[in-house]
Amino acid sequence: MRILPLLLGSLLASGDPTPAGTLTRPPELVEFVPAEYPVEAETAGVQGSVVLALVIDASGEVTEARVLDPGPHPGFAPAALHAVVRFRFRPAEIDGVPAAVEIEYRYEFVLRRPEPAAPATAPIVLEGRIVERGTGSPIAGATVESEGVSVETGRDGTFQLRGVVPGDVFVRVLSPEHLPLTITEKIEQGKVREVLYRLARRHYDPYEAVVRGERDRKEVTVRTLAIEEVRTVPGTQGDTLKVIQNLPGVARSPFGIGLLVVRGSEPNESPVFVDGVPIPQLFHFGGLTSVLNADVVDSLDFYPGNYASRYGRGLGGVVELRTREPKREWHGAAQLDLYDGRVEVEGPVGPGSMYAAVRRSWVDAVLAVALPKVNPTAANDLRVAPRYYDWQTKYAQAALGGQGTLFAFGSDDKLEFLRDSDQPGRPSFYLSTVFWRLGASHRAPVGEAMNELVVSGGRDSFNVLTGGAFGVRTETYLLTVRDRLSAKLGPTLSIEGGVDAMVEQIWYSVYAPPIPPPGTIGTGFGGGSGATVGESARDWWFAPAGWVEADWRALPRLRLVGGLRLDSNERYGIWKAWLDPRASAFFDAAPGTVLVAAAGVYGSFAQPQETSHVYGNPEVAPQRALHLSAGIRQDLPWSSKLEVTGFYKDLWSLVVPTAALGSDGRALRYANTGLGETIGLELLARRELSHGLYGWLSWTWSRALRRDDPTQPGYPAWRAFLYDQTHVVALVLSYRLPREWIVGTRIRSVTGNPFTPQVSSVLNADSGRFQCIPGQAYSARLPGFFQADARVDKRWVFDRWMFAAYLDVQNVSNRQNSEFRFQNYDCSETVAIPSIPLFPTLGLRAEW
Amino acid sequence: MRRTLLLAAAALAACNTGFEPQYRVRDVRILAISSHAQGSNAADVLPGDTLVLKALVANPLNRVGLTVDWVACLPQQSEALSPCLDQAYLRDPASLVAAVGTVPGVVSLGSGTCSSESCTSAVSFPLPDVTAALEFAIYAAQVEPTFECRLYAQLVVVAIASAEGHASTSYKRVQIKPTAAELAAASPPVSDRYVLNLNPTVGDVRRNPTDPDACIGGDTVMGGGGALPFPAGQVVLCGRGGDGSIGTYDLCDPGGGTDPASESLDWQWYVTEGEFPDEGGGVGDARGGHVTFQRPAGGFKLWTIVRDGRGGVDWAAYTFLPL
Repeated sequence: MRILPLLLGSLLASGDPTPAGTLTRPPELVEFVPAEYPVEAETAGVQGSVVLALVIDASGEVTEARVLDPGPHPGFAPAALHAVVRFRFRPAEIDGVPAAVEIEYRYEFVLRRPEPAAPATAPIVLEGRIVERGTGSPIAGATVESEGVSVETGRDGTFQLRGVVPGDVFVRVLSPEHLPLTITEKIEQGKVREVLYRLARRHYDPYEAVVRGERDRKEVTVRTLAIEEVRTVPGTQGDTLKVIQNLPGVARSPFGIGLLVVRGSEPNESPVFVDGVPIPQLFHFGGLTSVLNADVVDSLDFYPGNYASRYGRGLGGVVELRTREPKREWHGAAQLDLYDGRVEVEGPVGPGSMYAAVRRSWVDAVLAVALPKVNPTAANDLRVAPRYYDWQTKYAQAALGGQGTLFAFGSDDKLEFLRDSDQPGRPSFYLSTVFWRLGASHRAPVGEAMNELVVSGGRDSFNVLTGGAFGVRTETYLLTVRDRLSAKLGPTLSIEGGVDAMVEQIWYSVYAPPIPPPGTIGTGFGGGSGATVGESARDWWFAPAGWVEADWRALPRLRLVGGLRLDSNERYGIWKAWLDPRASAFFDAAPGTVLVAAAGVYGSFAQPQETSHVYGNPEVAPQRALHLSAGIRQDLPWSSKLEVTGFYKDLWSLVVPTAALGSDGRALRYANTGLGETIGLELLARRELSHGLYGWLSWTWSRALRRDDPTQPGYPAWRAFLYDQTHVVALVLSYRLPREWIVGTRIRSVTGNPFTPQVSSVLNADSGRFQCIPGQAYSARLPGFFQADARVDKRWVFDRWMFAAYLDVQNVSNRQNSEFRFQNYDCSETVAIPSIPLFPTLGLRAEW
Repeated sequence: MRRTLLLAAAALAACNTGFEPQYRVRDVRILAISSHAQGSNAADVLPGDTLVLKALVANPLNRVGLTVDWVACLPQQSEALSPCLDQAYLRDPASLVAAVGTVPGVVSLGSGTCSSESCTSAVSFPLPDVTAALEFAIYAAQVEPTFECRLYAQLVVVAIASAEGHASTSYKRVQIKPTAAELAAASPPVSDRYVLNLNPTVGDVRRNPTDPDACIGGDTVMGGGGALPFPAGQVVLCGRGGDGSIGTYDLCDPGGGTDPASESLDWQWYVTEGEFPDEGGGVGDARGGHVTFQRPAGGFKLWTIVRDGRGGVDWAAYTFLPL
């Protein structure tokens, strides 16, 4: 018997010492070096595996190897180490750029009989193809062995085996990421037997193929989530963006809607990008589910603050969603759950590959059946039941010396109530939110530098009409250009710079009562005057920006990043510009320990309605913020790590309502007189997507305050920010069981939101409704929030397709959490409105 | 905005608050205030008119010594916050009364008394000179043409009803329209696109109508003074506006045009006892041209108030005998 080591390696997730980038291409083993089987182990018949940590540099060389698990025999580890340092890989890519990565690698020592090479002239007796069970993807590099003759499959999974003696023979198929297959075949003299073998993956959720990168980051705090990591988080229905709310620095949204409140900033101060393109809306109907189908999302980066100079126009955090690359093989998927159904197909198109996905809600279909029985009047008035759909498509191919991508995505929400008594053009309620983006990106080297260009165009349309008293129609055509050129100037210095420009043509039409000065009783809606005013205009908005940034390893253990961003903004012919310097420092205090600190200035422009001639103040200036943060990143055993970050945010020139008057007696309505500050501490203990148990524990302590305009009641006292939540704790845990089961739980405990108590009321005689009179702003607080969610996922794998199901149960203890206080007609009594009760959701999914 | 609406809808749909409904009047409460120019049914007034204000006040416990104090805040030559709409004053209405004579523009219109379970307190006063405020309204329309549909100055009045330590406060905006001469003198010129509003009238209130939408058939509730009989069980009540109650007006289109619009009558119902079973959730505000009503065994009072949505109002009050 001849003894050969057999590769059964797997790339396993591993902790890495720095915040992660997103793996856009895993490392691929291109040159395997067999290890010598230790004689003692061979003699004793010992088999087993060694788990190693390999550091693969950007050229594909193994620069470091260490033993994590020596296996069952002391001779295995040295032999494996000796072999793996001579491996060669095609390098991994992070964010499309070759990068060093650390992987876990399992080297299996298996006793096999000798495999004499078949004579080249021997006839082919067995030929066929090896594909993956469930997906049908061809398996390249698998070993097909029979009667001591072996051969490897090609890129398309095909093989031809020669010289096997006729008769009943055992055929064994081995592949690193798949379960071995042994089968008996009848080989007949002079005949070629054609076969198709299907190998089952070791795990269909690609947890074991996730590799964390070590690409240097510019930000001291970035939290990256891979889609496979968030898909099974309980209570979120696999919604990528909702999972962000379980990370440190993010406040909990009432009723689970998708507000992104980051480190005490308003929800609209944290922009969201999809492949570098800003999107105007995160969720369908304000929070039902995100507008981007999770099937096309690869990962997301979340920056809670102190982000690099390439981002701007916000005072809070940044979310960068990355869509995945299309596959070269034909695949498809269909999914149904409580809210919607979705279909996705992908495959090769010409020289590239492409996918297309579409999703539509069926809330309207359910209501069409149920509502007439529950509320016939409402059913009669309901012209368009709430419905949404979204779509995404992407095409990728090599082009112009680099990688080119064409993409498009969009979203459409609509809801309409119409009564016979409604005025023409002013329905009782009409809501429509539509946007689409069409763009292209190209990434290619330019000499020694790397250039990434993203150009996109699109249209946003937002219409909301509520009877005769209020209506807004907007339509925006926009063009965005983001370009980023990065170059390494030496072993310790790299620089990058770019442009981030946006041009919009905005048309809007608004009717509403004039905005009353702050402190006025009531809102003016339904005030009985029946008189609205309006504004309609078409205008251009230019927002060009440019930035530069240097990344310097000043000392072997100290890295400094400094940047400068120049933003400008033109609206209604008024130019505003501001300059934001930013810096961060990283100090490698010890192996696995990094100390970080950052400071930066940020700016954002006022919301469009705040700069309106009729309802706002076109003269308002940009809002400003100073972000300070410092922390420690500590690697922990068991592929885990700990992050502790303290932060302080100073806000000034905030655009807030004012009762001040202009020189002509007209109300200014808004002024840059608001102030704010947030101080906090964040803790994140996270076990990476890896073996069995994964998840994180997140805790945020913070205090967010605001000071209003001097004309406001309560000035100059500071008050709590609307979403000031002193403690936000989230524990997210999932565990992968054998046979494709995953169980998980999410437990959250959060301080209640502040609210303004109502102290008395007066009757508005024009409407017959009472108007509450508020007491001290945000001086009361709702009770604390506690909720536990649970989820079970199961996948069944068949030869040609897979079927998965999940049961997601929110609030398993059916706890009555108070989301806000509902007042009686004259505000003399209140009652707590509870959050979501125990709420199960079932989802079904088929893939092929 | 849309999030708020969706949340409110979701919350109220599942809401069973156990609150005392708005439609049930237990103590001193102002239910409505109307305005009209003396000698006219117009809810709006012109410079030189004498303004008549009336408050419908319920006093089901017959509290002794009920008085109604009237305060007005004159329109200003700016968009400054009116003290009569200022939360700081309305939080303690007595502070608004105290502001008369000390805060510019705050004037007392006098006070009246009420001595029955349902009474109307009325005051009248000649409009003071508000020329400067009207000039400012014209100026606003010159700057923003859509303000031509609200080409008026607003006089805000506050009524405070109190008896035996129990008080109820209500406010109303009264539109003062510039005269034709003032408009003609405007330079640059403005178009007067605000249509003078007339008060609606309660034409009929009926019980168990054969056509509830049109409020036809069944039997009328209206009729002579004194307490009336009312059948046992559940009935449908409906209201119909008098002739000319539904006026037309113009809505300024944001693009600069004008859209004709028609008023829509809003009926509101109050009782001292009994139940509007379809209005039990939320705040229990009984509204609509026809409502279902379950009478109590004892005697009760019923008020119905009709509003045109532009500041015009009328009401009717009834007393019904026990079964």
